[in-house]
Amino acid sequence: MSAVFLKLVNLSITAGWLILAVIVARWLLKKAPKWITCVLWALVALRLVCPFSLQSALSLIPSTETIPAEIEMMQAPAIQSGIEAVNQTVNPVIAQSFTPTPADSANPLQIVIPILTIIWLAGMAALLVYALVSYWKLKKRVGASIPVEENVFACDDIPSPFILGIVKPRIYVPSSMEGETLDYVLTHEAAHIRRRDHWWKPLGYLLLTVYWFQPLCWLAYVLLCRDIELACDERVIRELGREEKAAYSQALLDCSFPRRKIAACPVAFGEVGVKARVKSVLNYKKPAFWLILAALIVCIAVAVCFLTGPVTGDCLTYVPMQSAVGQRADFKVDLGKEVHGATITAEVWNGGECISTDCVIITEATKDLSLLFLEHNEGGAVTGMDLQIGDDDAQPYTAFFPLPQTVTGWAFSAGYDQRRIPVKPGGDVILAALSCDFGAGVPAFDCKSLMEEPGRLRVAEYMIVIRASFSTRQPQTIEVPLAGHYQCEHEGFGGPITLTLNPNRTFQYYEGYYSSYLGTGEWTYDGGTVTLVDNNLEAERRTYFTVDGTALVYDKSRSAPFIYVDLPDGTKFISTATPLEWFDSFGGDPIDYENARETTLDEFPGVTFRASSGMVEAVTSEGSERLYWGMPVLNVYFCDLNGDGKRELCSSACFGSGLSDERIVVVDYANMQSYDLSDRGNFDFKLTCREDGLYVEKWDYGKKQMKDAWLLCSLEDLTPGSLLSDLGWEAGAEIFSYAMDTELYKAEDAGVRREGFVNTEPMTLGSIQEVITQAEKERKNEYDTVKVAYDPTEEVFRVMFYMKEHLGGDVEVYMDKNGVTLLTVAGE
Amino acid sequence: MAHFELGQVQEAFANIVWAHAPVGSGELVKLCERELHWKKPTTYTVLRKLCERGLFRNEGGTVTALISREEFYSAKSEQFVEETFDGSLPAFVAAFISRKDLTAGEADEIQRMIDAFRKEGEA
Repeated sequence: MSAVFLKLVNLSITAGWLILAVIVARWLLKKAPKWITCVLWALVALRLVCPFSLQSALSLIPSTETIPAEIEMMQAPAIQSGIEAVNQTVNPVIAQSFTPTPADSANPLQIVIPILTIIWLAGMAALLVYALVSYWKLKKRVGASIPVEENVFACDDIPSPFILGIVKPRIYVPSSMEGETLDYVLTHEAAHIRRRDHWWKPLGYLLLTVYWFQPLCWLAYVLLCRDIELACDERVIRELGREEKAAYSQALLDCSFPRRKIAACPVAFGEVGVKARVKSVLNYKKPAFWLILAALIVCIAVAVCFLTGPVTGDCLTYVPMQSAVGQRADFKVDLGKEVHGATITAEVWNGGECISTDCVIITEATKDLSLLFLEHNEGGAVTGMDLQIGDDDAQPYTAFFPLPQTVTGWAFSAGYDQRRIPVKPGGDVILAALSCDFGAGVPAFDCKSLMEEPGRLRVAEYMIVIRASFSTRQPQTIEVPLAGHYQCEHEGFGGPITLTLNPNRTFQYYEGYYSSYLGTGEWTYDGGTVTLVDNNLEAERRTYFTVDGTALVYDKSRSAPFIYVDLPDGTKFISTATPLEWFDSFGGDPIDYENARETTLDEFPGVTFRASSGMVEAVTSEGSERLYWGMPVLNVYFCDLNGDGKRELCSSACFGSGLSDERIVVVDYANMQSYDLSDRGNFDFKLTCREDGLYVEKWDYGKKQMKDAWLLCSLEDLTPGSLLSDLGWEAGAEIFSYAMDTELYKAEDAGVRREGFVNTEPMTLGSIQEVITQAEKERKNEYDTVKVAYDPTEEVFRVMFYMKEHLGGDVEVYMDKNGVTLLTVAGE
Repeated sequence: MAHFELGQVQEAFANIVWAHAPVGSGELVKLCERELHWKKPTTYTVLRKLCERGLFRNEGGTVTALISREEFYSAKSEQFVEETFDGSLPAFVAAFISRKDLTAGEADEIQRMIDAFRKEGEA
């Protein structure tokens, strides 16, 4: 019941605006027929009756939900009137009087609002009882009446003529009334009945019993009654001639100033003065067409601007949930059209500074977002907080916050209890905050106050704040040139059907391995359609495709059929610009440490790509070329990034052991060029495939925090690197880890030399032999075998000189790629 | 005895009583129901009013006329009686006019307006 009452209060506030608008419109439409004014009041009634409102950008209503439905449950009760000035004035007062303190068992509003509801019900009951009693008394009074005409009764005891009854309205006239006056009175009352005023007035009164607390509703009813009378007068006199108008006015006067009786009656409710009515009658002119039209336009304008509500738009709704383990906040996410994504950042404020942040990116696809704080226990002690950030389908992402001291308690606040928070691009909002008590207590806070007074964050002893920032970045679109390599989604004659559109406007298509027909010719693009003109055979053959994103769609109705295959209409030819997954351990495809995977691409005939856990190579009949390696290679996608129609290998891989970082490697096999994206020790880069393409995710080193993510659509983002000319590859399969080796040598001092080397000047090493020659300078032992190993992450060579049959006497020379010696180790 | 005006309704009722007096009250109720479509309480209320006015008497279930019809109409006077109506009409009832506190001055003014309007029409 309180909920109903709150809804009615909100409706009455919304209707209040409409009533004010109608009052202005009424004044503007003074000269227009009064029935139009009654239509305006009908709009008000509609507003009061209908709990829903259409949203419109043209709405002038500040807010349809001034008092939030869940205000009783808000930790920081506040109204949103839609007008800043009002909010600023009212909310602090509400906050002072009604914010629950921890000592309260209940929100004070939970007591006040039910009391108000009871008062409202009492008022409504009183008005209803008054109406029913008056009606009944009147009915009794007119029991003593006699019929005068059809449906008209004379009664001795009534002050003025009126209509009683809703279903079967009867006209009652005072028995002393006669002659012309009586005639006009009956015409007037009959007009009331035709206009159904005997329904509208009681209906209006009924609305008044419900909305009695809204003073504007009383004003509206008073004005409605006046307008009804005037409209009724207009209806009567519009067919009357001049003399009749005068006679009608006389009747009005006679009824109100009876020569026989002087009765002091209290002013009846909502009545227009006789003078005004007589004036109106005498001055009546039939309204011009354009006036009626203008008036109707005003009505429509009022309806559109005041009957609709403001667009509430993009939002987050908070649904509070109680959890036994930790504090939890759940949000429903509706980012809408303007906001393209949000970054959820966890900030830790300690000693006046934000000491670290952690973030997760959510997109328009996210529908639910949950935040769950859990105590992180280690060996019985609480060492920190775990925050799980989850959305509908993905695994929750967990961030860990170590706590600087022993915690004696927490204070948690999730902002905007069960509220829709409107979000704006570029804006941000604090979703939740957790404050730790280290024994000195925690000052009261809530998310709204933290947002309004950011200074509080600087004085907090230790606070974790979860902030959502809404991005303004437009979704990027890739412009992929049509030229490229396409593969049909259906199998052809013994193999894939392929189509290659060349940049020079020629094309080839192949209908499968067994097909002997190679279609060639010229292609054109015009207005969304690609046309192939195949002039291989005697007759010209045309094939049509429509462009759908990065794919071509076969239009069978206009095309000449393919030779060997019958493709259905709408067959898609997928471009190489669409990422093609080879394998992805992030997607649950586990890294196979034992076996190698192999795959081929049509644009590289005769090449088999092979990936083992540590490396990716291209195998041809001439042997294998190592493309790159990783320890391990995490995923590989094929995607045409530079528009040459030949796909590149795009991959995430880990490098180094000990200090290992994640990188992105892209190999442009067609041009024998590699690229990478890395920042060793500072950031990890991860390649992921999302709906609109391959994305680069940039994480803080250690993968604790994602800093940024963007669409990978060209090679310009990446650093070109040397590939197949890398000497290290020639060093054979021997890979070692410089970091690990140096760990070993830290302990031992004997034989380890770190300075006083011969090779101090950088130089170019052209071959393995040169590496060996260079390293040799550093050693003096006898040897018959040389082994070279390479650390590709540190780019360090290890050259071992030793006697095969002997144990001992080895020398290991560590050099960087420029031949500068870093370390030598001489064995016993 | 003060004579007074009968309203149209009271007159209709009085005519029935005069036509049939003396008449049993139950019989009277039936007559009123038949001719005026009145319910029993209505009949009794109007009867009571006229009894108070000294026109009729209802004793021991029989209604008699204290003043005959001829007597009543022959002694008409022009006394004006103030009728007090309890309260005004409720707000939700559609009426012709309810406001009655026009001053004489205002009434004159309005009459003049009407007269002027009529004159304009004739001109």
